[in-house]
This record gives sequence, C-alpha cells and structure tokens, in this order.
Amino acid sequence: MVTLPLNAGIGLRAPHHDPIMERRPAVGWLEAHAENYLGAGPARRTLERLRADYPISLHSVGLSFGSAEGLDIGHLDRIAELVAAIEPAAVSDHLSWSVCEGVYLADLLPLPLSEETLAAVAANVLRAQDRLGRPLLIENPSAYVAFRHSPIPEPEFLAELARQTECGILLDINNLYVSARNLGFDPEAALNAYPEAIIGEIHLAGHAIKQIGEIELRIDDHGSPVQDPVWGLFERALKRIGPRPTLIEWDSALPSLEVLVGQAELAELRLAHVAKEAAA
Amino acid sequence: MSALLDLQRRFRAALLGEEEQCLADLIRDDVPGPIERLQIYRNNTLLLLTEALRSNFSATSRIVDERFFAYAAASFIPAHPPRQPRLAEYGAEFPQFLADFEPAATLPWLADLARLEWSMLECQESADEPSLGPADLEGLRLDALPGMRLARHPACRLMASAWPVDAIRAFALAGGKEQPPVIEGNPVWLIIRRVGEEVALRRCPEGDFALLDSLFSGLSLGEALETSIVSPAPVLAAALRDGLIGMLSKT
Repeated sequence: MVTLPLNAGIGLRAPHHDPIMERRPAVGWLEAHAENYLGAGPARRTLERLRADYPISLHSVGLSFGSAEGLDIGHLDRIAELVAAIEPAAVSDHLSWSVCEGVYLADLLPLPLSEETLAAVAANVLRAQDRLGRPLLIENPSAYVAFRHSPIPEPEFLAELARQTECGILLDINNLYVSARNLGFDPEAALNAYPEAIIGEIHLAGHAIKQIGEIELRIDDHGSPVQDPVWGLFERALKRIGPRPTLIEWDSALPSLEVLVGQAELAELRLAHVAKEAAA
Repeated sequence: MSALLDLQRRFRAALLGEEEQCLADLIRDDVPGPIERLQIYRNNTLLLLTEALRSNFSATSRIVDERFFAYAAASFIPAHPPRQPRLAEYGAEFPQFLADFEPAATLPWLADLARLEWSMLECQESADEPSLGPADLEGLRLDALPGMRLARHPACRLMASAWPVDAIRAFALAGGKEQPPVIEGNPVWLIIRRVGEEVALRRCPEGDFALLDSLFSGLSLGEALETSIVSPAPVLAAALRDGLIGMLSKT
C-alpha cells in the first residue's frame, strides 16, 4: 500500500524549492500537496526533478471525500494525471470535506461521524481508488466543533472505512491531540483505539494556542515546532505499532530549511530508537 | 435532502458570510463557545483565500494599503468563491471585480494591473509546447499564405492598457505605494511570453499589436492584412523568433 521508507520526511513547500534543489538535504522522503503541482508551471517541473532523488508522497487537500454530492471528477482526473506522471510512493487525503455544490471552501471542514457519512466517504474513496488504481491513505483532521449527531468515534469510523474500502490510515498525531484538547476527549485512549495494521503513515506538526474569552482552543496552524505532548504521543504510538513513515509538516510562518530538517531529525531519532528496540 | 448535504449547505453559507447561528442546532452546545469555534473555520477560509489572491496578484496587493486589499478580498470572496480546489488558479474574475469596485475608483489603473498579473500567471502555468519557427514554414506555397491562420502560443498573451501597467507593476514590486510615476497619456501594448521559468514583458508599437491581435483572434493572414497599418514581414519575423505563435493545426 505504502512504499515510503520507515524514515522521517518533510513537507515540500514552494519557498523551499530552491534550497532543496541546491542542498538535497538528507531526509527520507518528501510530501507535496498535490493541488500545488497540477499546473504545467515551474513548481511541477521542480517536483519532476526531485522525484529522481527522493521518494514522493502526494498529499491532496481538495478531493473532499466527505462531500455529500460525490467527487469532483474533473479534479480527480487532474490528480490522476499527476499521480501517473510522478508515480508517488503514497497518495493521501483527509476525512473531511471542502466542496459543497461546486464551491471550494479552502479548508478541511469537519464531518458528523454517522452511518450516512460513512457510506458517502466510503463511496468517494472507492471511486478515487478505482480511478487512481491504488489504495489511498486517509487522514484524521483536527476539529474545533463537535456535531450533535456524530455517534461513531473517529478511530472506529476510520477503521471501518479501512475495512470497507481497503484504504490505509494516515494518523496525524498533532491533529489527534488538537481535537482531543478542543473537544475534551483522551488522546491516549483515541490513539490506542486505532488498529495498528491500517496505519500507513504518521504526520507531526506544531499548533498554536488561542484564548477566546474563557475558552482555550488549539489551532492547527502548522506554524511552529512539534509540541512536547505530541512528541510524547508519537513515542508511545511507535512503541505500540512500530516505526512508520513520519512527516514533519510546516505551512504558516515557514522556517528555514535547516529548522525543518532539524525537526525531521528529531523524529528520525525516535524512529531509530524504536527500530533498535524491535531488533533487540 | 440528505442530512449531510443540508449540513454542508448551511456550513458553506456560514463560511461565506451568513450568521453562524444558522448552524447552531447542529453543533453540540455542551462544549463551550460553539459560535466562536465556527468562526475559526470562517476566519480560516477567508484568510486562505485572501492569501491566495495576494499570491496570485502580488503587485496589485502590494501597491495598495494592506487593509484595503483585505477589504477588497473580503468583498470579492463571497461573491466569487473558488470553483475548484486549486488556489493558484483562483481569481480569474478579480480584475473585473476591481474595475467595478467603487472604493478603488481613485486608482483607475488598478484593475489593469490585476489583469496583467492574471495574464502572466496564465503564461506561467501553461504547458511547454513547441512554438512555430521559420523552419516550419519552409516549402509553404505562396498562394496558401492568405488563408493561413496562426494561433497564439499557450505561454503567450497580448494586453493593451491605457496605463503603463508594466511600469506600474515594477514600481509596486519595488515597494512603491499608490502613486506610480507618469501614468497619464501613456498607453502600452504588451506582449507577455514565458521563456524558460521567467515570464517576460515586452512593449510593442500599437500597429504591430493590432496585427498580432487580429491574427490571434482567428482572422486569416489575408483578412488581418486588410486592416493592418504596418508592414507584416518584420512583425511576423519577430513573432516567429520570440515563439509567440503555436504550431499550425493540420486541418
């Protein structure tokens, strides 16, 4: 399903194109947002060059698997064309929606986790996998609101989605922590509820803390180093499930390439530690 | 209607301007601050789409006050939300929106600056296709010339403006604000062409521009020459040299 190495990778962002081309940092792999490389412009040509030197993961943010209206087939076709050209080691998107009646809302919006939603997401994932000719990884998003009617816990929902569609799960540990803090559930228990076999990739990122009146909210802005509680969850996850390809994501207030690679090295140390323990 | 579609319609309405209250009965209120939480999504959508416009129209956004641009974007976005999940292609209607945007009336060249940036973006994102060169015309019969139709290369655009938008763009990118130098009575005719990774701008005389414009609008060579006021040979030679013309179709 996933042929990414069991190492740490970094998110590929446009301001880092030139430094990465020049310095070729020693990271295990690169993950690119598919929607940023659909045109024929310079970004696409950079990705085509980098794929010779790094395993590439294509991470889509716009397939909108949670859309009640079904998939935008034109968009799926463009993603399919990119996948055929890049031959990535993994392709992923989110358990969320961003398109409603043809309008793209530019965010990973929350879904009520119900039987109706499961049927809609499963149908969309199956259709995409059929078009792309490969299984996908589906990521747990960060959440700020809880719906009244959302009876299925997220780990259970994703496990059932994986069972029905044979997709894998991209476990974003920062998102899990952010959602747990925002909605008041136990992140450890949620983490332990994911069946280990379906987890094909891990995401880590930083988040912000925002005080709104009496309420403290965690904002998933990918704009700072990974926080200690998230590293802690990552270590315990690795102990339970073993090493997985692990990505450091950074989007807002993008730091120098060195800082980003430094975060990947911190993940790599933990991956190496757990691999060594497994071998002992 | 499905409950999921109903929820998504209401969510969309709340993100693009309606009161978050329209979602209140769907959100758990035992978790404190339901409306404040919805506003995070709303702010995020507005912020990301504003950033996309700033990135696609960088000179236009930099030449005006930051708050003015944010205000223009916040007025534009609900009326013209993106229709596809690729933000590098968001904002096709933004130049026309600025032309009609009353608060921008004191900057009459602003819409044309945005139009120039959009044309450059289109060139940037177009495919690397071969262009028509002199060698492709060898062996052409002279009597076939008047009926020939020449198409614009996908990485080429033409743009005429009553203001020197190329100079205004350079002024904006150098950090200039709102008062670009010498703009009255200084119209320009521009050829925009991506060469390698760079999109280049070149001014050309009005007559040359008019000839190219009629050719690229679909007139045959013979028809275009009937109204042309310039000698066609140097214009066409330069167009072939600069790769402005796409390959001939076989029809």
